[in-house]
Amino acid sequence: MFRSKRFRRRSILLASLVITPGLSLSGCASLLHEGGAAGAGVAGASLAGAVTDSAAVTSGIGLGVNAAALAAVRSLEKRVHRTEQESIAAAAGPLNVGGTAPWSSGHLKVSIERNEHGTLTVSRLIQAGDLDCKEVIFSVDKVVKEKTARAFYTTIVCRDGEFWRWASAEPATERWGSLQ
Amino acid sequence: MTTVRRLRRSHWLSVAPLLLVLTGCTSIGSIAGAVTGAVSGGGSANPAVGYAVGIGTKSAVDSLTRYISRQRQRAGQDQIAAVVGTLPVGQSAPWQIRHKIPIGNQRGYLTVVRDIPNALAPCKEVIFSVYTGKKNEGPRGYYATTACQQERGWKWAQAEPATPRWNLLQ
Repeated sequence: MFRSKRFRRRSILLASLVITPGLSLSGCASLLHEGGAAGAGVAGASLAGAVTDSAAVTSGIGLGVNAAALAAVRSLEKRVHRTEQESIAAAAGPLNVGGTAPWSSGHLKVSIERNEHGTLTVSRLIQAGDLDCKEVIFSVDKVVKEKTARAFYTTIVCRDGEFWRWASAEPATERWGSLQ
Repeated sequence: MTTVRRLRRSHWLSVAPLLLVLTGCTSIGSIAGAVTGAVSGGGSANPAVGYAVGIGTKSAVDSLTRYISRQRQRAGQDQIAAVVGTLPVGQSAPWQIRHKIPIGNQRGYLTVVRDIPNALAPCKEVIFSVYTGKKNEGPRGYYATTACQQERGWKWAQAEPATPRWNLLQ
């Protein structure tokens, strides 16, 4: 009896040892995925546990809730990131080739994504028939050791009615690597 | 009784690597999570503790796996971008990436097809081919991308796809 109590205490200590580096190692996105989904999964399972005695039914409901919560977190991430893409496209829309303009992602102060800003320029017009697109080079400016470090990226934006939208398609599936 | 136990253990040991191969790298986090979750669940009477430990471990191992894969992919991108930086428009050159752990080594040829004149930085458009390890085989594919010069050399510049096209990528 004494032994099993000690074992329990030890395993809880072990648990906290495993969790702590887990929390510090994992990036925000990973923890957001797992945390949000796990919280919902545990809540869903314990709620189901109160109603049914069957462990299989309980964990099945837990898993279902878990998957739904994960999908919700992903949809939130997509929506927040769309804001950034739309602000870049909107800033590039009125520019001609060679023109430059500042852009910023325009997230709320507290957001799951870092606010970013930089400069952008239009390098080429791509026009055919009704299509009205632009090739855009944009910088993401960061301050590292009191110096501005700029990373440059390229994308394509196209006009969709009165709005300009991000138009780059996904990479070829062979080049997804660990993107998925 | 002990023989039966031994047999069972050896059975599991032989199945475990097969599971890893079947499921691929991305499932390592889930497996680690399930194992630690089950172990701690066995130690503690409270299933929520087991669940929490499992999730914590899964999250940590997942992000570690992603971090390592991203580092490896970036190494490949840096090799291509570095070669792009040395070439004028219309010229071709070979490129290759040899990882420290020699899995997924790739090589091929690249051609700079266009300068992208713009107000911010020198940028180029490039088409590259990819050959995997085996000799006497044609290229596995041709791909197009862009690279720009930053303070610390040439870097891959292709930005992410539009969010409505993310679908399974996320």
